[in-house]
Amino acid sequence: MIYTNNLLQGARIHLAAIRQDDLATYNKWYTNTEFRRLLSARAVRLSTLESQAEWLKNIAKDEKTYYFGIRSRDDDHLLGNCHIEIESQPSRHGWVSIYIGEPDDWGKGYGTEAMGVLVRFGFMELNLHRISLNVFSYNERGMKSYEKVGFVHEGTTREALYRDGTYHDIHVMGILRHNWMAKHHPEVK
Amino acid sequence: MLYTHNLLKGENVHLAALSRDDLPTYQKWFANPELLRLLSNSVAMPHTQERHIKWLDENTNPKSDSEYPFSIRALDDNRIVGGCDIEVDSWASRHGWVGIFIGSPDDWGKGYGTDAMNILIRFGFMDLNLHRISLSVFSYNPRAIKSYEKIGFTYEGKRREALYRDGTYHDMHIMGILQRDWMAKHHPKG
Repeated sequence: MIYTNNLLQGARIHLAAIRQDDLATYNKWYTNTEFRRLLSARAVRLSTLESQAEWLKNIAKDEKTYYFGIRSRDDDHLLGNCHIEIESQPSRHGWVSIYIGEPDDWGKGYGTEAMGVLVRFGFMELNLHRISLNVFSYNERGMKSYEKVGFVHEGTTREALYRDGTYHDIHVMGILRHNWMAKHHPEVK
Repeated sequence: MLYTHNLLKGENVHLAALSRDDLPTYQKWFANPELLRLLSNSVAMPHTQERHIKWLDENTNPKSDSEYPFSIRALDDNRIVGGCDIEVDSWASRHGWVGIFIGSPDDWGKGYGTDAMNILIRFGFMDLNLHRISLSVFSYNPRAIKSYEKIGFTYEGKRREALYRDGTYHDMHIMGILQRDWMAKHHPKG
């Protein structure tokens, strides 16, 4: 056993269950259109406390997806959110998504750290073989962060995203279990 | 690709979806206490029609991606000879449990069960990508134990005196097979 009490811990952040009393914070973040356009290809639909409560109810029933709040380890305040959705159990393939909510917290490495923990959870706890993600071509900060974690660019869905008069590409990035193991646990054959 | 159209086909039987049409056959089979006592550790009560209907409803349309129920049918005339299933216990550990029965005593000892279990295990390793498959079998069922050994299951332990039948306690044996053992036997180059 390699990870026990530190399975969900990074240096400055940890992954935790999502709480009812976080919903107001989520709702505030979701009114920021810059944030929304980095997170999702969907049209921006403003959220309400009610729609956030509905979301929390739905994710509690979702057996294919593992949702986490990202919290700072020093004062436990909420920094963002991430999840792994298992696409195929036989193929042991999952998709990840992540965000840091507050623009003041962007560029500080919290997301990279949390993604490192999330990917470790995917390989060490869920026993996945492959983890994928989508990132928009105008999100260079995101791509750089994912590369640091070990994701490689595998392809591009061309002009899949319309924003402000232009079509943008969506990049597909992926990481394989044996790549991750070779880097983090070369002793395990 | 190794198995495509023959993924669910064996030498004498094939695995198929369950069907409501087989209800009368199931009812006949599950009125036989000998079968009930080989299949399950619960009290040998003939199953009611309501119970069969509920079971068929659940198994003709499983709600969970962890349950794979099949009927076993003869290849020559497609008549139903039994049933089997894999239930995934943990996807992270890639561990499943199997169960199997041949319904009519006239069909016992003919190798249908071994043939069907071979297909079921292949499905578990080649399609579901399981790492390990387990089963439990009662100590008074040597025919089944022999069949499971033929397939490649090994005896791993027992729950002592876990089952009461006719004045005596019997053991429940646990058998298991690992994906790499199965691969080494069936696909030594893969």
